[in-house]
Amino acid sequence: MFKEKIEKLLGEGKVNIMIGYTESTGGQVRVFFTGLSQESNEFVFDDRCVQNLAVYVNKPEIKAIGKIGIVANLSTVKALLQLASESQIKDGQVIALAMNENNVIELDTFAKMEEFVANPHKSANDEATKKIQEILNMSREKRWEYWTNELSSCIKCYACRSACPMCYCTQCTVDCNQPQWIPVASHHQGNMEWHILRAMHLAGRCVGCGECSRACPVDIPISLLSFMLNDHIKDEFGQVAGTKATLDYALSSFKVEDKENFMR
Amino acid sequence: MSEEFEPKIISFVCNWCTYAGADLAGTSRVKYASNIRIIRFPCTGRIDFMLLLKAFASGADGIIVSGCHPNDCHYTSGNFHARRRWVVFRKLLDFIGIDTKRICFSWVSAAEGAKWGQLVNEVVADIKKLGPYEDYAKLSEMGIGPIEEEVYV
Amino acid sequence: MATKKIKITNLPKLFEDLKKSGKTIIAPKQKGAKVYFAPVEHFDQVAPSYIQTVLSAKSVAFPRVEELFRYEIKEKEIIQKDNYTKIPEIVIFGLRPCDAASFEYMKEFFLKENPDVHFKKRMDNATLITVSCSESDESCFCTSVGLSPSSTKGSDIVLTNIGNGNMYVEVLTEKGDNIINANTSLFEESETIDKEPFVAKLTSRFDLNTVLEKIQTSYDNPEWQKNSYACIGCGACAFSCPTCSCFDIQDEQRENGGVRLRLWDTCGQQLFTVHASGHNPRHVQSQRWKHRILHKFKYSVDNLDMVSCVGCGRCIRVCPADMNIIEQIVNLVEV
Repeated sequence: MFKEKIEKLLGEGKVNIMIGYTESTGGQVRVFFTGLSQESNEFVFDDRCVQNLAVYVNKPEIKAIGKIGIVANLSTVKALLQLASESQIKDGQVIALAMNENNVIELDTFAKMEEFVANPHKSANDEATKKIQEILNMSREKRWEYWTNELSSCIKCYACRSACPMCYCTQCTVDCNQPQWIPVASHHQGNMEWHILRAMHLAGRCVGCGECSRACPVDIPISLLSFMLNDHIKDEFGQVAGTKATLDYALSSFKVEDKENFMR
Repeated sequence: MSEEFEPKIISFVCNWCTYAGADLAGTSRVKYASNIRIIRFPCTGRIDFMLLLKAFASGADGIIVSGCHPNDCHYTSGNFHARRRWVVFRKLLDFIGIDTKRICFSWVSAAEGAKWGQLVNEVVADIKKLGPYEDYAKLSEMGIGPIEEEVYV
Repeated sequence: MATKKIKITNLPKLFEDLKKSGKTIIAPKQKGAKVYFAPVEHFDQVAPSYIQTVLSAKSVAFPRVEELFRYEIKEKEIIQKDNYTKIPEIVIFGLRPCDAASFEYMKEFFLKENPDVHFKKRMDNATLITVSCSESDESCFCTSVGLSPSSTKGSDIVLTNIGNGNMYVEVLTEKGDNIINANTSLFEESETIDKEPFVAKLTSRFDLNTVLEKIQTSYDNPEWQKNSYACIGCGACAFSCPTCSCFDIQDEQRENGGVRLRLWDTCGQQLFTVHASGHNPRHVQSQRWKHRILHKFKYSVDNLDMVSCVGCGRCIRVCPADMNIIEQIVNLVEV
């Protein structure tokens, strides 16, 4: 079914490289790259395929190959739209193969991707939503304790940044050292400031794939910060990331009627 | 007799409205608390959110962020962008457990000298009640030593 | 080498005595579904069964953030305070044989020429008590790199569970002797026992000599490009690896002075090799991924006569992109 689609796309030269999932060890899946149509049999696509592959679209060595085909779950399509809205990919440069019920659909234009995302989909982040509510119900002191505790194990490996499709800056703020705005060290201040900075830079851009939490080697629930801000921005400004191929970013736009309740 | 706690307040203000307003407070001889240090920016839109955390890390107990009223920004829309930024940043700080009661956001125009004086006095009184803010400043010394506190993970 | 026995039920008392003599004990502790090295007060805090911890114990001798010195400016004087004089005595309990062997590599790296005073002090103050592996998983490959689940390399004491509530004790160094002699009542005499029936069996995944030979001429092999597409360039593998020793030095400002810190660094990140001019010799991920493997299996052999991989498998378990170093090396040999 979708393996035939892949074979066709590669065989006809509609894409120069296909990015998807393949069987790995221990019953898991991993990302797979190929430019050869005869390797289309290696691809799989099922509930295990949660990794957001859009992150690979940002890599210069992959962009240089030409047209990219990508086996896409919902988060991947959203990420592609968000990247499009930020002028990182051009219309038609990426062809996404998505599953709709049991059909494979070829999303080769941004318009088709927008339509796909607009359809109702099963919510994937219920557990995260519950945890966010749990934290919001804690007292301020307990919240501080919770986060300093969780963030103390951060080792500043930046797996969260590397796995995120939205973190594509070739020189991240933390890598700039004149001035060293965010401490490089993984002491408590360095960790706190890194994660606060990252949450702010992703606010309203995060597509909710949860890759950051999955990538973290020490299991810090980082995605809760971005998910919470996503909900807040949706409530306050009505803007949601990953839905349009045109820019609609909360922090670079404003309305004169914006309301807040804390300015004196 | 023990000394009363005198908080350190850092304020980030825009040049055209609040800074001018503070200047007016001065020329009008409005009396207000001297706990405050004023940092001048061209516009509230220029104020990086991390600066607030840097202020806490350097020992500030309270912060004031103030600029032009909406529609009065010298650069037309800087304060509109700033307003959105603070809506998001404040929520994030609150979620993490940083005390947002210690950060006061306001609009103070160039004509509101009296308001500035009153605002500073109110903030100083509030922070005096809350006490010194050590939670955030402590972070830079946690996780590297003294040796007994090194994190072995 | 002396051989002894200890009842598992005596281990809590051993911990108590170690604590009483002022030692800090670092042991694997359960945190959620995974196990990490952390300070423990009592034996019952040690994770009961685990194959491997997420991060290595290298932070005992090579901490994640280490204060090298701090300085204060008082009037016109600069007062410098060194930190390494306050390093406590540490016992690491529950190391695996691969971890103990990794310290041998770290010692070569840090102490061979111009010994690093901080590392030396920490290593001198550390006693390594290894527990042999009774199980392994598919990420373990110590036997492929010349080690084994019963290896004693690098350990001060090795404990092996031989059933009937007993641990077989091998005492290999003076530091190990000191612990035994301070707690003689807890240990019984024992003749030499063959550990093989009690430890995990691990088939070798590749022939190390073939790898070492093939890697000499692999630099220009175009397979590296394809094999490294998946790598996202984070530091998870380098930071969890017990032999990765690259570091960064950062100076930070403190009130009236500052500190100089040594931090872990990783060759996987893009900016690791960037020059002040902006030129970056390893500007593509394939060059960085290739470097990692070449360093472990060629450069450290060239420079220090040691393969700097102990087969612990941590990099495989933490990698967000499932790079799997075993598969990469097998592929290197075959292609």
